[in-house]
Amino acid sequence: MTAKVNKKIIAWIGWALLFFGFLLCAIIVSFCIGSVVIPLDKIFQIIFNGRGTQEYSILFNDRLPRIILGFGIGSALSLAGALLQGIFRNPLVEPYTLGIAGCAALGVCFNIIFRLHHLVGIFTLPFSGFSGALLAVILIYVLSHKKGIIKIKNILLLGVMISFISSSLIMFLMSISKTENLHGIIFWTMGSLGETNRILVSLAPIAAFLGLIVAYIFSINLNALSLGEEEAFYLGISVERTKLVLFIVASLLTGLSVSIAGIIGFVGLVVPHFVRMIVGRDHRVLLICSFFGGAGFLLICDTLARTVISPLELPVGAVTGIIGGTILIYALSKKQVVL
Amino acid sequence: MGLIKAKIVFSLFFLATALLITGLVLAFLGQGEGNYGLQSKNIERIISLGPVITEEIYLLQADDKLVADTIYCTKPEEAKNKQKIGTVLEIGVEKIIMLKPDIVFATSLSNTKQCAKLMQAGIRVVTFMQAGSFPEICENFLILARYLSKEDKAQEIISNVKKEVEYIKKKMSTVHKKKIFFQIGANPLFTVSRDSFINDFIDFSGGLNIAADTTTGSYSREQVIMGNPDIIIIATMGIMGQDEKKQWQNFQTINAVKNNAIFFMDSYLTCSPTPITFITALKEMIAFTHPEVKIDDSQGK
Amino acid sequence: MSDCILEMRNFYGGYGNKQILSDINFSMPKGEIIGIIGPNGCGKTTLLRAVTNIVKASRGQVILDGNYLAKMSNREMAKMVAVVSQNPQIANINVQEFVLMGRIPYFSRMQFLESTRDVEIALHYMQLTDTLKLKSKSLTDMSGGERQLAAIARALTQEPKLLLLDEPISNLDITHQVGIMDLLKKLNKEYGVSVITVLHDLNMASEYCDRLLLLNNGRIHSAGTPFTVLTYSIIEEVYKTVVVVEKNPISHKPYVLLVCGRELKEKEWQNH
Repeated sequence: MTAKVNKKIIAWIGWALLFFGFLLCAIIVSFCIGSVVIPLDKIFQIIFNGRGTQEYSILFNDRLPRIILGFGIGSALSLAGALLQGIFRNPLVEPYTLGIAGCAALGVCFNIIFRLHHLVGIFTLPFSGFSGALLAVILIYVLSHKKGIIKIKNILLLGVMISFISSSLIMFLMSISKTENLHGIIFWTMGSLGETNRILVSLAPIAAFLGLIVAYIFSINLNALSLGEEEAFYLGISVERTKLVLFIVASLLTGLSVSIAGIIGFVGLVVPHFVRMIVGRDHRVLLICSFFGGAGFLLICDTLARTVISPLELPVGAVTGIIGGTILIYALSKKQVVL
Repeated sequence: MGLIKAKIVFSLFFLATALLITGLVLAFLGQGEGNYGLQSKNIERIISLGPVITEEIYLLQADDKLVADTIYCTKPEEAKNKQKIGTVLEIGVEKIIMLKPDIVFATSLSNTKQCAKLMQAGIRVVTFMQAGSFPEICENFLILARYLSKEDKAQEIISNVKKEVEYIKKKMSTVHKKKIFFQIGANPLFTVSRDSFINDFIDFSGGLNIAADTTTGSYSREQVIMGNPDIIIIATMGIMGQDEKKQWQNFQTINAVKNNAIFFMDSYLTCSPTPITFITALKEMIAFTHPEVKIDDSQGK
Repeated sequence: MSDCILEMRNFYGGYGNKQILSDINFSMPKGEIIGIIGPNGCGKTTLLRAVTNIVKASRGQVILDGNYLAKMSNREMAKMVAVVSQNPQIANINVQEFVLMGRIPYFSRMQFLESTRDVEIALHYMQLTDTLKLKSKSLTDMSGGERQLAAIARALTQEPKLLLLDEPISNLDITHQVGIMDLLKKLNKEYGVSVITVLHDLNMASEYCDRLLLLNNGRIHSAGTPFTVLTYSIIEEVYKTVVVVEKNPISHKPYVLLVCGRELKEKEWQNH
């Protein structure tokens, strides 16, 4: 009898280890590979003795912040995706389906065009993206909230509408803006892990980790929710509170990621989906594996993005889309998936 | 394995993740700014991030110190042989760090984040803002020359160019001013405002920019028809340029169309001029607008 | 702890502004099986939902084992009442995991994993419902009857004092119909679980239930033993259809016979 429980837990631990190992490999790969390949043994030398050399500079000024950021954003996005897919019980839901990315982009556009960041400081760029994301969250919540019940269908529709309206507004703003501003906007929307501000970079993984902890507290609730909202209610779950808290967490994680790194899509859609196919739908193992998996995935995509056409750099969002989409299509063709 | 053990293992995962994050972040925050590259005051190794800068470096005969430039730095011919570190908009940060430059010259189009990364690595980065007028072109040139310790050479070139410009301005001040529309973009239609050095081309060549008051550069065909320019100049955009000419020829009321005065100018010439290419472009412009006026090439030398 | 497991006093309630139930008054002693019957749309499912607080009272109270439902937390309610829905969502989950979810109300604040005791309880009830052999099968691979049994197993794993079922046998063959109703009877008599079940089939209700609540237009039309409720005049009044009530030869409970309308007309015509 207890053997069955043990088997399940051992399997879970195995999966978590696997994905954690994947993440560690991705980190090491990101450290070693770039325009310049620095082999692993040399890295230790450089860390301890190499202050002042170019390799040291590359490792610490260029690659380390990318890794920290990639970790933070990849894990945040895939965690947000897993949470949203759990709340909406729909495998096609992504952090971007809710219009959050659209509004964040809109916020940044405003900032660039009205040159707010020259007035108040460079910090305002991510801040305006975050405000845009928050605005979307508030808008969606207010418009779809009826007598204490959050209607899922309304949110999905609203999200799609907000996405469309935001991109139209962005196109409008781009058409009346000066050329210098255009570059800034386009760069930002292509998504990049090249952020330099120390505080922002360090913030990403910390926020993602906090999000993971909060998500875990609700992991049982998510499991119950997968049976349907009414069924979950009968099991004693506070359904509305669960949806609200997780919705806010997912939105905050997405808003933060988009504000710091621009638009990097697909991670929130593909990684939880793929992880679910491998480890199953129990959120107690799904959340942590998505967390590690997303971080590793983004790091690998970023490494590819900056080496394939070196010294030029592909937008990392393009790489995540191509690779993520291919993997997903291949996996789906091999195995029937039911959420 | 009991339940307690399982809980311990799970907690360990969280702990390990937290440690990993903390370790990485501390390593990142702990190390200071890169400290190499600031020591040498002598500038021996230069990297250029823009075609104008590259061209000006060659003008100042400091190209022996130029280590790398962008793939768009094609003038003069020798510039193509230098190492490439990316485009005007995006550069390879790692490659630049490995080349150990003493100074990097950036433009207003350069990726600011990447430049910040270079600065964090301790590399000197100097950014040249887009020149909005002929005097600014000269000033940028002078500033560049100072870094290269070629100030004298620069002053010489500038004073020659200035003399020639004055001569041309004087000569063109008496001619009948023609209305000019200078197109630098299609779909959407884009022209130049008063704040562009191209406006200086128009001014100095005895012309009037019908779009001088535009703020963003975005212009409509209707506005052009109302402005009724005598001459339309299109900065070549490849095939699109030819299409644009055909488009304009549909509007028979425009003087420029009636007089078949639609010309093309090399967009390279008009978009990134050094003081010398400014003169070249200016003379080419005069050939379009006032072909009857003879500019004596020997003037100002 | 009173000896009434459920009491509803002057209960009025519905969905939003629409009031469905009016003036519901009844009390249910522990250890009974109550059947809720009535025509389509009379509020049977709504009544079940009122007991679990999904449908809130606009007026009146619901009292579970002496405690006011309005003052109970969702979790406390889940430990007392378990529900087997009419059409449970088919999820891609295996039976054991599904049944184990019934222990969720008993998890402590920070507990994420089931204890061994939880698993024992789940397996015990799976055995009771004869679903132990299906424990690794996915819900999507099972027949309606098997799924219903698994749902009952899950409800039982909540170890409730009161079990609510919404039309548990409507789509099943007679084997499963009798099987499930026999199981409910066994749970009631041997394990002391109070049961409220909504049934369409008047005869099943008559056979198995101690008392019946006949609802009509959101009100209780009649309440009492099958003998008092299942009379042809009451049924004709509520269901607006002609029936004949006989006695089941084995159990002597009322047995409702339906008549084909055409046959009836011919008979009437013949009688004239």
